[in-house]
Amino acid sequence: MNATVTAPVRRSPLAHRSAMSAPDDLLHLSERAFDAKIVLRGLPEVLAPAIEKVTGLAMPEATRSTANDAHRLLWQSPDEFLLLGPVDGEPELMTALTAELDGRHVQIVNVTDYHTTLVLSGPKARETLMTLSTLDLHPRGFTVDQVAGTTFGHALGWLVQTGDDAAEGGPVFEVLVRWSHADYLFCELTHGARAFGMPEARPVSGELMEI
Amino acid sequence: MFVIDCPNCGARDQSEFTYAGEAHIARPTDSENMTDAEWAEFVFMRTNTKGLFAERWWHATGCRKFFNMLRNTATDEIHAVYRIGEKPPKVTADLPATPAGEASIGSGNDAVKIMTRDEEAAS
Ligand SMILES: [Zn+2]
Repeated sequence: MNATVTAPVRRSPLAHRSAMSAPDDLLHLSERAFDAKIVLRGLPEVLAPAIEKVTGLAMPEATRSTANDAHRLLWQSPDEFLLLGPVDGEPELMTALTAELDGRHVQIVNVTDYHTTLVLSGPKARETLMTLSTLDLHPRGFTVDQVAGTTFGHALGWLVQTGDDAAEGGPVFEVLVRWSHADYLFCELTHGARAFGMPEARPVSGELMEI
Repeated sequence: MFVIDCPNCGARDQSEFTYAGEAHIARPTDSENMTDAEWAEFVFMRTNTKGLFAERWWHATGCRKFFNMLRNTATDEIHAVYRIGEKPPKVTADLPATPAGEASIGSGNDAVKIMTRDEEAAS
């Protein structure tokens, strides 16, 4: 009998959960795993030409991000930036950035499998995040393209607003959270959205996490 | 709880920060010739000021950078936030005139009494 060997397949940290929604499109919560994620450290003026050449993006101001169709560049600290790219795009980005920055005093690290992305959209996305965060999340205090590293409950995460409040369907937020914290944060977000009719998070498989 | 103005990230809740001790303590340069007592002085001894105090804070969840702060340890009022390597700005801070007239240095030691403004004017 011949055994079939298949290539290893990645399994996202929330593979056992399905995307969830509150009634009337008040809130949609889902995971988008495997985006290319690369941390670039170095002086912005050193990184800028390489990032511009590889992705077409300009360097973001403090607490902001810049984006085009394929990439988003998040400010994380005065000398640290997180580049997001298309799924499976990380080897190409790593090669191109490493070549462009060869010999410069920089650090380029592939963190694709370190974080996963939770996507919240809808008119109640802000209020849901408010249940877990101390950030000023009023539309005047947190605007599109803004970035903040903070805690959501017990989990550390990076919040970025990717969709405008005025757009149809309400604002869109993405939370980059560590792989091992993703399940906790997913459950806490659904819990925080219970007031808007969000059902309880029930795993497709595995154990029920009680919070 | 109070809000801290991170020099990089702006106003954020205190829960995002970690306290990192007294500021402006220079690391000794001739460490190989230091006595144990001198090491102990550098490592452990702090001024424990009641009132205006220069201290380091670390924005643990945001930019993960250290910065300095001038804080009134008696009132938690933050008088200035400035970057590592910068000199503390000149500010003035009043200790609160408490009924007990607590000491300006240490805690509970009332060998040194603070006078309220009214008492000072009357004396
Ligand atoms: Zn900061």
